[in-house]
Amino acid sequence: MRMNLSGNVGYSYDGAIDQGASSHGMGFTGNADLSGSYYNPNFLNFNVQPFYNRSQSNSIFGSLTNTAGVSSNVNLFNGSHFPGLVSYSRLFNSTGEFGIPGSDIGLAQHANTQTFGIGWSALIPDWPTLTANYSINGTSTAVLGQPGSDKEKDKTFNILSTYHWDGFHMSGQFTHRNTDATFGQLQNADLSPITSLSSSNGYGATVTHKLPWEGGFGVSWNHLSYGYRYEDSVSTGNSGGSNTVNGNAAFHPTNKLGVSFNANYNDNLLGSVPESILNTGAPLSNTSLVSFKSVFVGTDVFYEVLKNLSVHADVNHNDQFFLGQSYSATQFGGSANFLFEHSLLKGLSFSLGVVDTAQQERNTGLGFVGTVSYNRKFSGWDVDGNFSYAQNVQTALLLYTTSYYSYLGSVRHRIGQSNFFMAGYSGSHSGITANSGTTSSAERVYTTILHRANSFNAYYSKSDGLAILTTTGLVPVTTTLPPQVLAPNSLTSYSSKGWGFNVSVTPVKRLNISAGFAKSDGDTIDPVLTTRTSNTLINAVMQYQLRKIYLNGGFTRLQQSVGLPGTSPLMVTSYYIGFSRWFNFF
Amino acid sequence: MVQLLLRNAESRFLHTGARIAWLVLLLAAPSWAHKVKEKTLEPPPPDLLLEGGRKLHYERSFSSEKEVEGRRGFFTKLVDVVIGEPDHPHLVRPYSIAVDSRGRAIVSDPGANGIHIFDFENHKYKFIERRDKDKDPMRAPQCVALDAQDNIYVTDSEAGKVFVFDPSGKFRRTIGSLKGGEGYFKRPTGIAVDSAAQRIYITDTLRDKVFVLGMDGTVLQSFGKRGGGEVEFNLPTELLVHEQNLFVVDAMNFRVQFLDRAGAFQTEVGRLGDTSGTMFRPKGIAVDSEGHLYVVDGMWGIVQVFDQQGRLLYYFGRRGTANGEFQLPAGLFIDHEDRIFVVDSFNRRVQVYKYSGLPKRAQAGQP
Repeated sequence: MRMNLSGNVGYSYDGAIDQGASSHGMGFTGNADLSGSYYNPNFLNFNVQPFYNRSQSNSIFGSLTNTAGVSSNVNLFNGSHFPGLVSYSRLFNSTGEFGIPGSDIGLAQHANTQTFGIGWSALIPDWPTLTANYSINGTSTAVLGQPGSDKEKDKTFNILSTYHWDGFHMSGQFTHRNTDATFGQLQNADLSPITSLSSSNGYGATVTHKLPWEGGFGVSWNHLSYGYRYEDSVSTGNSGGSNTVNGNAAFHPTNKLGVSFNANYNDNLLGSVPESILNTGAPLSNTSLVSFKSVFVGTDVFYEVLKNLSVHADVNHNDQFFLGQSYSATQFGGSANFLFEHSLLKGLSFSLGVVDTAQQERNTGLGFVGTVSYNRKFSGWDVDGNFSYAQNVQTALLLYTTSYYSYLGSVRHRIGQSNFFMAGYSGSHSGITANSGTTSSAERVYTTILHRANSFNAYYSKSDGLAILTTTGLVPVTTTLPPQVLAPNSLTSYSSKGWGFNVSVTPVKRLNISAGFAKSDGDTIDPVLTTRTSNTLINAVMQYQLRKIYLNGGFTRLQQSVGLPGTSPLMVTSYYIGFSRWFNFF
Repeated sequence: MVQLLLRNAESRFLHTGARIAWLVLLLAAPSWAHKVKEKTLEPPPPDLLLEGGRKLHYERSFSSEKEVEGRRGFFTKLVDVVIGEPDHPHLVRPYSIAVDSRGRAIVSDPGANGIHIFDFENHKYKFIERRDKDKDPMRAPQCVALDAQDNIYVTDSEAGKVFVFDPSGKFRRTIGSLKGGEGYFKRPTGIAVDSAAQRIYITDTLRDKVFVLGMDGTVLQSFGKRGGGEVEFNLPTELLVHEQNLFVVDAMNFRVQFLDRAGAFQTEVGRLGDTSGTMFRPKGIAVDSEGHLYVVDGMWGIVQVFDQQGRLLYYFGRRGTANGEFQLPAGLFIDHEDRIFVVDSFNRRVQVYKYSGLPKRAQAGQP
């Protein structure tokens, strides 16, 4: 048996003022890293990393909570044809974030998590490989200042097999997922927590093979079946499934020419979408579960006309059956990409594309996609610019098109070896063309200044759009996803803005002091409730290293409110000072 | 409600004394255990007994500031136990070495982007770096050479310049720095300084040339071109000035060319192969007091010794990590006491041998 153990042992004084009530105390802190092997590292090796009272060094929220936990893994028979893995981790009272789009820091929350995983493979030469994995994750999170908590339990089982035979690469897989979630954090006015229970089974197979002219083809089939129950003020639930068959072939007769053919059949067009939504704990709309067949065939040609000019053309035909109606469309598209090499315009490139869509009843009009990019250095200044625009671009459903534009500009400048400056501005606006109220936008201004080991960062951002609620926060809904896919009661409208800065200085060698300020405000509106979120965070951390001794200090002040407009904020101040020593025990 | 894990203050303070005592014990115990572990040393390789009573003896290796330190007193040891030993700077990817008149070993280290100076006699260590300098930053120090005043000359293969430091490590000037900060050389690697003739010799590997400079950096002469013939090179690297000869490692022609000071071809040693006496990746070269040429082969992990006629006399080392074994050895230096310093690059150390040759009288054929 071989083992190595290293880690930190420390002692600290900490205190807190929580809603006016103060408390303080002293205690040990520490973490360890135990790794080793038995007989031979390829036979059995392991790694265990426990820690106690270490939140001050692993969270942007500083010393708000004193985290303890352990993470570990054991690898078995790594050097054989039958390797295995077992992992386990548990965290108590860790500080985390409940994500709010447009805000860099989110809402402070604490969490208890536990994960367990086991995996095993059979990798016998010239035989099909077999890999099986099973994992269980349990999480309980609570936003500071909120009485409710979110709980989520996931179970995943996956089995995968691959085989190579006579130039054919084949694979098959099966995945079972089960996600049970209870949301209680932002729905307090509903009085009862929201519960989501969902499970899915997916299996599929893929075959690929090389073809002449640097080409290849692939065929894949996937089947998904799922069921869910979603309970808030009303209870909904359903089950469904989809089959997807894809085929493609591509050739590159010359370096300048590429041709590809694609064919696709779905008996539920949204094939993979339900699974990803269900995994977040959000419900699907009933409308997405109806028969939704689609047949797609298309071809695509790419040709490099000149060194700096390439053209692309495609023809697609699509038949869809949705909500009792048949839709048919043929698209003709083309684009050109050009890179300027003229001395004055060097660094400028653009791409222009048009798509004409003809449905059985009418022509939906021209779609347009364009991108202009610029990158150039001017006497030490590195300038980047990009503007993208799309109008009437098809979504997954023929019924809907979307439009968007985004822009980005940044400058970077290095002065000598040790000074660096960067600033930028970016934004995007998008929405489903046919549906009002589905637009989303995001804007961000940021800057970074570096001087040797010192740095300064600042940002301002704001965003709005539609999101779905998950246990880790609000996740923006992609605008290429038609709104009918999601249940209306699961959609949350949000708008938020935030700003902040962070300063880190190293006045003397081995001493680092950093301080930051962040403020964000937001409104989330689900169909029945308006919730206003606001938080202000001031955080400062100091560390001085004296050989193997670390002197640590920290200060955190958080003001956070979640609830109806006018809700009293939570105010907590926390601080600590202490030392730790690193050891290489053996 | 916020859940803060702050324990009851009263019960904590009662046991604070006991806790601190336990902590001191905890601080001390692992350090002592670690010391015991460090004292388990590997055995040195046996002496190599050579013809005529000559002998090659393995002396030691060094890799960090720790080996330079003198005897540590009681108080220093106590401090080490309580707050830990200091972080001794360590060789990262050493490449070249030179030993000055005071016995200090100067080691270039492209991995650490600097120069280590090990002064074993005075128990001092210094690290020279210029990575953060706005003017003339040092990017990839490659080979190192010394003049008669122990000034340190370092080629920077990336910056295309030569950096000159005084014996204390203070930056003095650059050679080959053009207007705007660019370097004159494409990839300067090998360097040798002839103080008597006031000449600096530099190989520019990508140009397949050897440049001869005055001490002020003026280019006086250059010779060489791409090829496999006489005074033709295929990526020349290290060079060495010895008596009236200039030895140039012609790396990808797998040989060492002997030239005179004016660049005229004299002879050559080595050819491509994987047997004794052949070369695959010739690196550092040096000459001992008997005029034997030592050539490091980076790929085979050995040092081969040739006489002036190019005949292989013997070799030492092999690939490995133990004492007397090398992994990608590079630089080589032999001091005036025939102490051989081999830079064992991938093992992050320098290994030192002592060659005991024939007495001067025996060399001259006297009884």
